[in-house]
Amino acid sequence: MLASPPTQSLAPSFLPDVQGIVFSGYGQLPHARYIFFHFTSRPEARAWVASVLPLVTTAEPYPVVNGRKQKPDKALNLAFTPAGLVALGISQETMDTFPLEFVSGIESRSAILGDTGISAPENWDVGGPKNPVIHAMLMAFGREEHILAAFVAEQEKLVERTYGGVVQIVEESGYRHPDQKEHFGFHDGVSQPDIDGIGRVPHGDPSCIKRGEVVLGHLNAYDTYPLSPVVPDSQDPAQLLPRLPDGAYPHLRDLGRNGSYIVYRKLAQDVAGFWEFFEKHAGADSFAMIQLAAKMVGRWPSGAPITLRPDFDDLRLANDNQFDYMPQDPDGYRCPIGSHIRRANPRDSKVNDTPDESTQTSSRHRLVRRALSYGKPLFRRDALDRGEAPIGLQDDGHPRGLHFFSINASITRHFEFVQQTWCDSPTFNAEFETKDPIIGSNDGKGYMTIQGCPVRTRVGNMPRFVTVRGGSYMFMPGLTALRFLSTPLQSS
Amino acid sequence: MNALTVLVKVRPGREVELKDVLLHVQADPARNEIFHVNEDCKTHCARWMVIHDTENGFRLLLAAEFDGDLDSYLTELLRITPGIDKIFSNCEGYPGRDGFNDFIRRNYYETQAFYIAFRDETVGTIRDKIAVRRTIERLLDRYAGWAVPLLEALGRLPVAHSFAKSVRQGMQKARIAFRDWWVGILLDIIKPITQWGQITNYSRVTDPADVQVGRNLSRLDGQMTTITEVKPWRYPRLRLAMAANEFLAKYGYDPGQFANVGTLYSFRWVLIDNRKRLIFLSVFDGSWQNYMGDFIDKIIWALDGVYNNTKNYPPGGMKQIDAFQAWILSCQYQPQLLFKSYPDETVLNLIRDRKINQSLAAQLYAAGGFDSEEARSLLQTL
Repeated sequence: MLASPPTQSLAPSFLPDVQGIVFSGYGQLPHARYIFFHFTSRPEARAWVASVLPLVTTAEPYPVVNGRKQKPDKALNLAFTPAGLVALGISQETMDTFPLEFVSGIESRSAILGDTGISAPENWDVGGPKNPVIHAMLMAFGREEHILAAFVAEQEKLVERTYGGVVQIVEESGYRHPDQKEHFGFHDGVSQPDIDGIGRVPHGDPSCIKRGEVVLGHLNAYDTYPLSPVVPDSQDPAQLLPRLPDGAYPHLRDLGRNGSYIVYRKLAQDVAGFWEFFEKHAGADSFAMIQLAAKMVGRWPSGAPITLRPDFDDLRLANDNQFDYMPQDPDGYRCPIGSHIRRANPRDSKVNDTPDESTQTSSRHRLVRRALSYGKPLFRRDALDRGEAPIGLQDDGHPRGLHFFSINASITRHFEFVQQTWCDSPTFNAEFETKDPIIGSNDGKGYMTIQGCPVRTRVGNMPRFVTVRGGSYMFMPGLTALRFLSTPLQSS
Repeated sequence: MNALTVLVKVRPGREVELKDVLLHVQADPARNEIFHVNEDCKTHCARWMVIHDTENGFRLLLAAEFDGDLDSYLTELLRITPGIDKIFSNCEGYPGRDGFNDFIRRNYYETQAFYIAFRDETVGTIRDKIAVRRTIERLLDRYAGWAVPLLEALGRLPVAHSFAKSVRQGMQKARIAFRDWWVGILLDIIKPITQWGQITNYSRVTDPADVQVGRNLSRLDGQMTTITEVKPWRYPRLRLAMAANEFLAKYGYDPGQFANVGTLYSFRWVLIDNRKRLIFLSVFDGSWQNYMGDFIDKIIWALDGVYNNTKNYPPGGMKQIDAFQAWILSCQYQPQLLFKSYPDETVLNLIRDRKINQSLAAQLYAAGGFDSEEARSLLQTL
């Protein structure tokens, strides 16, 4: 369930300082452009940030007129890489207060993330050592394609006014298909964490995650404030930035307040290879192919969890996310232990933990995910909901995949942990020689174990269905921090 | 399993050369000419690293968990290390290959508290169990066509319930219930004592400078080696905390399940420099982040109890999670050479391997014949 902005009356006061994408998937805005920039002039780059700032969409609740929310028909958000922050004039003193994984960048984390072989940064379209260094990313969204095109054209004019101080490197397009499915044909984005006091979630609800798991400057799961980048008082003469919470370190100002880290991954999907694989292992039998694919994903193409509906797809459960594994499926007979969704969020089923312990651990590694597709669909995905698999599917040579974003307060404890410790670990939850069948760095040698009675079956020679084609670790500042970054530097 | 901890001074100016030799071995464990690491069949885990403090300068720390007695282990180490002189000639007082055993014994430190996941296993028996499981997996893959009907047929056989088996199972349950009861009581007593003196009104804001700590460490996963300084007059309390850990590790939990963590192969504490410094050596599954999560969620009492006797420990203990992580990173060393005998297996994998092997052996030797229920449940664990 995508979080929706809260109603005005209950909205926490900090929301206007948070960028909108953090708490909303912009469900009404299915068209997107992700535009990546390089800065060549510090003053011009800062002036560009100032020109973009009034257009940035915040998490402020939508206005209500005559009882109806007035949702915007476009949205804009902005994030920076470490190199971009340096290019904007952030001092080394402040850069030293950003976490190592952010400062060293996603390319240096290949071994942890499984970005090896054809997924190695050397082969990327966006980011990586062979492409221009990314300094900033603009995320633009529109209700219709023509609205988005006009909005992007406005942005291009703002860039032109920098006279080369801000250079566009690459522009990527994304969209949400009306069927809400990603390219393999599965309903995507069903499971998102509920965040304390955001959307319809009441403040203090124990089943939700703390705000500090997603945004800096708020208490996290350990009842402490996440580490936040800071600026010495002397470097904020206008005193734009707030002080740290609880009056701590009064000589410092909080650059991170209401900001988040955002991980970008361009994920190419081998759709023909995916269905060819299931055709090979299940025979040219539509139901058997879909069932085997569902076992690997953990949901049916409609999005219905196989834990709740083990034998057939059920459109009525398409958005159902209120379930645990242990009450009805402790051994993985319904949803295999190594399936994609059981790895990405084991819920109450971590081996060796009690259900409560497992739920607590899982809640400390939840990702706020935003993802839109790129490339045309290869086949009619709605047919899957009728039980028709794409038998004999051939690739058309066109690229397609997903622009994936993970928004968190800690890249290591959230995104990297899930990717390394759960998804890409061959021994996750006491499994043997298996990785996430969908997003794991499979090399054709591993297995997918499907627990069953009287004995499990293993699907061997698991190939890589998803290849990483781009990536970046970025910081998405709060609005106050954006204002700070847009202010002309005295020295410049 | 036994433990070896050796600390020797590095000859002045030779620390870089020593590190290079160790890194050379690590770069190609199978084919280097110095140390034939891959031939080692007695070591569970070994780490070699150069450490430094202002009082003692550079020292080589060799820490290993191994099978058998020390003499035979050192003899084996010499056999597979033709280039031992290349390593130790960088150290003070090394007499050469012939005096290696005495040299090691002179610089040897006793382990004060030692947790071992599987006390009854050697490298050989663990590797054998892994091999048995892999064979069963391959057989099930290859012969699923007959295995499935066979197991289904077994399932239709009457379940063999014997009085002796029921008694055995009942006693086992009672033993576990009794153990959990006294462990619970003991922990209720220990927890407030171990965290005595720690504050609860600590700052929720971590020092921003802490984020820089540990940036020199590139490989944190799988093992931890820390060296901390003991506070003056805290030795008795520290010794008590370590003893409590060792007692619970030995008697309080099933093999591999210390504090129900299930990711720890071993950990141990070694006091050095006349009880002034404390070395912690652990071997664990998976990522450092996962290890930290287990620490904080499950064994906060164990580590607070030991480490609040050391200098610069956060006043609120491990609950100050970012401050704790920064503190432990500031004490952490990265081995130049690390060897693990079964690096691809987790503790939970090994627990399952033991169960499979023990059950199979029990079936083979059972006087009463094949127990179909046990056979089915055994294979279903795969």
